[in-house]
Amino acid sequence: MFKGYFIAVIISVWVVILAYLGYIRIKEKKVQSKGN
Amino acid sequence: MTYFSKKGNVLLAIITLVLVLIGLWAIIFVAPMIPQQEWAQRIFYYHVPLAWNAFLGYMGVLVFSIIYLVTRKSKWDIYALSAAEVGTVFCLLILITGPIWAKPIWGKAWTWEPRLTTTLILFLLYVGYFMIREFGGPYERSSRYAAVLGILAAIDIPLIYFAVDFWAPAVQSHPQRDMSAHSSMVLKIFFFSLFTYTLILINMFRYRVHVGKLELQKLEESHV
Repeated sequence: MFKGYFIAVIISVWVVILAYLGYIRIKEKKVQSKGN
Repeated sequence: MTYFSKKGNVLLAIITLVLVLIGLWAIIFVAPMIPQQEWAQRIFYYHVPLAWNAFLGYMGVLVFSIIYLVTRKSKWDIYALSAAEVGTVFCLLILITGPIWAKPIWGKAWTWEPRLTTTLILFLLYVGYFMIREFGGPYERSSRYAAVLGILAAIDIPLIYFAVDFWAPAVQSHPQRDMSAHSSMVLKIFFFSLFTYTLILINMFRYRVHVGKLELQKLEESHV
């Protein structure tokens, strides 16, 4: 019972965390490209 | 030099990922099923550690902002900003996972009860924090204003924790306090999940600090 809600939580947690890590990665690349 | 060109950072990320996968396995296959809530109860193995991380991040903002205002060293401002960003990511996750749990258990995703409302206020305060940083003028001034807001916003953290006791004890219990009533396996998996998600917070914070320092370095070089 309620398995779908549990799966929705796992997916949303990882979507948000990975999106934030992607945002930091883009920032890192931008800073490095400025230096070159 | 990228964050992941350091072996220590790669190792920490790999260890974290492995522990997260072990935690996921334990939550799905080992954790006992709690009657009535069943799979919905397992959301708490995520929701409570996420809340812990958000508060840890915001407590970091409080401490780093105070140190920044005293010393005026940019390093502490970068720490405060990084803690604020990471804390807000986790605060957003509380606001997403809470309603997902509430929908099947309470019958509605959102109610304006004290804990939910004070958590939303905390999230909005930090949206304001980022707006000050973005539109608050020169770096020095916006950092100073943001530090003051970061300190004031931290007052909301104990309010969230005790909100239910203060205003509406019948509405919602403390999941973290109720945990002690469950079996030792529930507690073991819960604390394992708490540990792994704290490791995720540490990884994210370290990565953001690294990028923040690179940005500051470039900014200083451009002024020379």
